[in-house]
Amino acid sequence: MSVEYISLAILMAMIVMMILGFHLAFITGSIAIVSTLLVIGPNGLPLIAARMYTFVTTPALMAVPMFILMATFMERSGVAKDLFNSMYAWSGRMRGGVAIQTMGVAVVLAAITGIVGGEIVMLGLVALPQLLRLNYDKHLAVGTIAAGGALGTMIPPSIVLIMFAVTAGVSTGELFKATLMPGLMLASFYMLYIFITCKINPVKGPILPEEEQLSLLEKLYTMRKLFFPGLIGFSVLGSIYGGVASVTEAASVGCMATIVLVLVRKKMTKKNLNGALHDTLITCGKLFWLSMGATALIGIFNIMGGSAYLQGLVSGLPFSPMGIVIIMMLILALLGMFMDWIGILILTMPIFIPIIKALEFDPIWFGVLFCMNMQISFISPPFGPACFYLKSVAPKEVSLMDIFRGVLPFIGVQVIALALVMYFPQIALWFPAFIG
Amino acid sequence: MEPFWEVSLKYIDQLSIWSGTFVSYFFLISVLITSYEVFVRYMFNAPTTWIFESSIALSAAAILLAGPATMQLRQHISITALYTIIPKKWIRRLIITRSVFALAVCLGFAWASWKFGMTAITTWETSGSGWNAPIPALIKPLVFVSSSLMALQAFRNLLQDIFNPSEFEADNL
Repeated sequence: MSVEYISLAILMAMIVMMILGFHLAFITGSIAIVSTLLVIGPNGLPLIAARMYTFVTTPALMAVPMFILMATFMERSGVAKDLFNSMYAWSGRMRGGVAIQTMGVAVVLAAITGIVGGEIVMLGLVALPQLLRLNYDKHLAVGTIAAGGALGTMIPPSIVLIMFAVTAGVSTGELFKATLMPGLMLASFYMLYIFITCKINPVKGPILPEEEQLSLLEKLYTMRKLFFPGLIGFSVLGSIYGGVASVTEAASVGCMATIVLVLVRKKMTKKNLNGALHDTLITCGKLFWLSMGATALIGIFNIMGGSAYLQGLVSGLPFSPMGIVIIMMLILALLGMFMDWIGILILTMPIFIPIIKALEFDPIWFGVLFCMNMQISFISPPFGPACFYLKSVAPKEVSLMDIFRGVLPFIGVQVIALALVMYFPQIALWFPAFIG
Repeated sequence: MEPFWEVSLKYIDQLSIWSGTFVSYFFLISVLITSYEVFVRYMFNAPTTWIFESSIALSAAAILLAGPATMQLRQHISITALYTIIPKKWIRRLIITRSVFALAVCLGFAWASWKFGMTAITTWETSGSGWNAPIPALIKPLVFVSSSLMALQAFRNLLQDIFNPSEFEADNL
């Protein structure tokens, strides 16, 4: 059987099993096992185990459980509430101020955690009730939180970025540097959008009631609660950007600092400790087993010459290099409607990355584009995980339909930002070049 | 007195949960030792030889054994779009089919990793670095161990899907 037919058969089998709702880890695993048996025979099976073993012992991946653990501790430290409260004081007389400030909190949270689910839950619990109490427009409020929470992907540290770096074979640190500016740009676009919306339609973002406005001194006093979380974010990102520590080391130090924070706040109960460890375990179980199945599949697919075939196919297309990037982005966005980022990453990147390199694009830049694209998939209906996380903590009067309607304008903002970084790669690449 | 098979099924659940809880502490240990390494290296300029490798080994062991625990909670990722539009009767059939499928693939993983793990442990494979610890000899067999535990859990989930489907229907699609 020629490689075309095998590739086609694999693709079809995968699509059918995905639609049937089988587990992605086992779909990819089953295809890996069956292809190995057909192509090499039973003697080839240890190759699958070897791929799985090599994957779980990849040094750069060690940072992933650490950042997850850091986030699960952070969730239990109550730090989100402090952050929100101390920044709340500053939203004062501006229309839409609290929504803009929520976006600011989202950026800080994104800089100290790398998990979207956790961040949305924290924001949903802390900021959403406040926004609704102040009579903010429901759609604007949920959109702000879903989009803000998804920033956890863009602003380092981020699990998505680490997994991308490992799959694409680029440096995690470099990728962390490159996504910072596009991430902040996206966040400021969101704020601008909220500001303009509330200017046009003031009912959507009321000002704070008189009795809740504080004097400058009181405002400064509430800032003290920003100190510890700020220190953690600074030490993690600072040590990576300053080149003092590797990403894994920075992750362990950040996690350690978070543990100290939880201890200091007397929140380190047995329940919280076990809960944080358990959440980390299950998140890793989902993430890594899926990747293990896929890494086994990609391994055997390469041996069969499948990847080379697909690359030849794509580079033979009658499109300009930029046209191919646009097509890739469309494929990612389409997949993003139905699949998790990790499934998309593991299945498409081993094929896309060599093409990107062959077209002489920078894989780091492509990583930023991938990440921005996954931002869209996080909040896009009908299966955007951010929407479901938010629904799980939102008050009853906020329906899933409200959330879907609320995120739509933010998706528009994301598409604009993505297009900008596509046509002006310098937005992503000047900062790594600048700090060297 | 519960029937014997029901008790043994509970033990399977317990085994997955217990092994998961046990290894979840490995994540904490790997954080503690890695930050200790950072500390002694920058403070006393005294890097250790053992922390980097042990940390990877701990993390890998925990990741592998997270599989059965995730299986026990039915948290492995799948796309359940179809289940929102088809009749209930078909959802049940599909769920049973996919549990059979999960069991078969986990057995396949176990089959694929048996020789791989056995070779590592019988030859007492070491890491070949300065420290030269028997890390591959200890971690490679875990691919087999966790695949087998996952197969066992898949079997238990399958029985539940067939005989007692009420427990999962609500939210664990």
